[in-house]
Amino acid sequence: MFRSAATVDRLITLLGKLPGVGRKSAGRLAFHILKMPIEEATGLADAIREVKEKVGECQVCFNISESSPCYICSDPKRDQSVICVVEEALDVPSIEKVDSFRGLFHVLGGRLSPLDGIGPEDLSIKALLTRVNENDNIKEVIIATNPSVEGEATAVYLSKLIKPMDISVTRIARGIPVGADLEYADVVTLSQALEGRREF
Amino acid sequence: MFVETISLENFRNIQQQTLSLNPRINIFTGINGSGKTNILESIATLCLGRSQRLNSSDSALIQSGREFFRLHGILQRQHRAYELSVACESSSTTRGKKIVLDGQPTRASELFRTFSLVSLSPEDSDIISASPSARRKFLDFHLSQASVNYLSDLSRYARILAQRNSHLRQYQLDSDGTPFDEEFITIGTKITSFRLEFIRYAQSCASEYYRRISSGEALGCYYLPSIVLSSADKKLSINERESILQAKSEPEQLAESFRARLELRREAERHRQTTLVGPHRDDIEITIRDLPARSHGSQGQWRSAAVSLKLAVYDFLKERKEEPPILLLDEIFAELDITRQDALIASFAELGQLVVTTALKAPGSIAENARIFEVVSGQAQVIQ
Repeated sequence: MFRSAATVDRLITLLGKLPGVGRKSAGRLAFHILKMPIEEATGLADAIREVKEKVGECQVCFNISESSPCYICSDPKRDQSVICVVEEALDVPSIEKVDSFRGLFHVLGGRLSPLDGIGPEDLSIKALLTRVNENDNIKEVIIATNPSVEGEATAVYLSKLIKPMDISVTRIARGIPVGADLEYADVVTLSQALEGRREF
Repeated sequence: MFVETISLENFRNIQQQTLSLNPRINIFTGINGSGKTNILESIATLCLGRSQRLNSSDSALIQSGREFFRLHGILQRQHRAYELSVACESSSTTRGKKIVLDGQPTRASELFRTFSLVSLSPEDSDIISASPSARRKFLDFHLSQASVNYLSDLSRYARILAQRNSHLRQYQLDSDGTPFDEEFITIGTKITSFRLEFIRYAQSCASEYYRRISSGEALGCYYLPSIVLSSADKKLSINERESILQAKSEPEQLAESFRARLELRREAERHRQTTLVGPHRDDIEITIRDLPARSHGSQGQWRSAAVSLKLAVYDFLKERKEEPPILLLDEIFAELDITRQDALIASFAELGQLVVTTALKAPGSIAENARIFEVVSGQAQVIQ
């Protein structure tokens, strides 16, 4: 493919390790970086270093954060009675966009998947239980794991642990995305939406 | 629905060929090994994105020494033409199948939803004589054409089962079961429920066909759903078994029974570290004159029984999809004696498109209005 200097080669190899980047795109990115003004390129390098040095996990909700507790956990205006449980930190900004949700979060750091060797002890489940147990304000736990086989199993697992604590456990609904026309929805999504229909 | 034209490239022993088919009856004649069956297989692969020979892999369809196969064709369905192409490459970088329907890349499930096809071939005796997995494959391939939900449930079920088995290997199973059990029960019950619906239908339909083909013999077809029947139940008489099934045929009852069976087998699952209850362990029992066909039937009876089941599936699909599926008959006449042949042909009156192969002369009654092709080493030519 590309025959180039050893330093360029190393950059290509490292870029190629990123998700969704193949050898060819890695080469393209590397040559783009080569042509960048020096301050832009070092800016990128600094940003990468800083993110690794400064950003850690919030010890309460396990979201990525520069401080612990994070800005969400330490915000007194937040609704302290609701925790929304998500698989990854990446899911937090998605739900944050929802204006009607002003509660707290808990990031599991994955989902139960015996096939990948991921069990309850690999996720922040114990911390979630302690959090719910020790905090009398919490009235509801919303489980917002993905509707995949693994996400569903994780939801069931959590609900069995949390329900006995006399706390309401809810699961986000599945259905048709808003803005999508019914005619373009796939059959499986549609049939799930029909199964989950509600009376007016 | 019918295939209007089909072009083949590097498919099995056919390098390049374009055929235009008759909407009703097509007959391919030729000596053994000339490529008649390959033409049938290409029609199935075009319609459903996979071979009707359920043990065949996609790459096996590529002509030896070539790197890809490509099929392209026009299908007519309810006064609308569909342009369809199915291609597969063997090279590792771009492996996999590409299906394009009316210019849009699509998945095989879309073809299963849109088209339907049933094939009869000498290999079908396996449905009667081989292991339970052959009968489950038979059910799954055809029921997936009848319901797209069934197809998606099957793939979801396979994933749940793999996770559940992995869980059983890694953790001590406690009295709560596994976190996968809730969905395992929901999806497993849906699969069982639809299989039950089909077998109810086949019970009367297949035995009617069998009576016609075999001049009066009785064929029985009984579902042995793992989520209802224990191995002790399976030893009961057919009547006793059927009455157990009758009492648990509603989805809620099936789910309840599934839950109870899992609880009952918990100790065994803990010990054997694998899932012992669920539709992946279902079977169908076929009887001829009230005796299990697998152990008591002759080869001729197996073939007739398999033909009857396939025709029952054909009728089931026709009813569900409100139009006749495409029917492929591979060397089916050579397999049946003259009276059985005539009885079979008599049931073809209300069929849609029919594609037949035969090494012999086709029976006169179907050859009359047919388009006839002669196949010589991978090349077909119209001779009538």
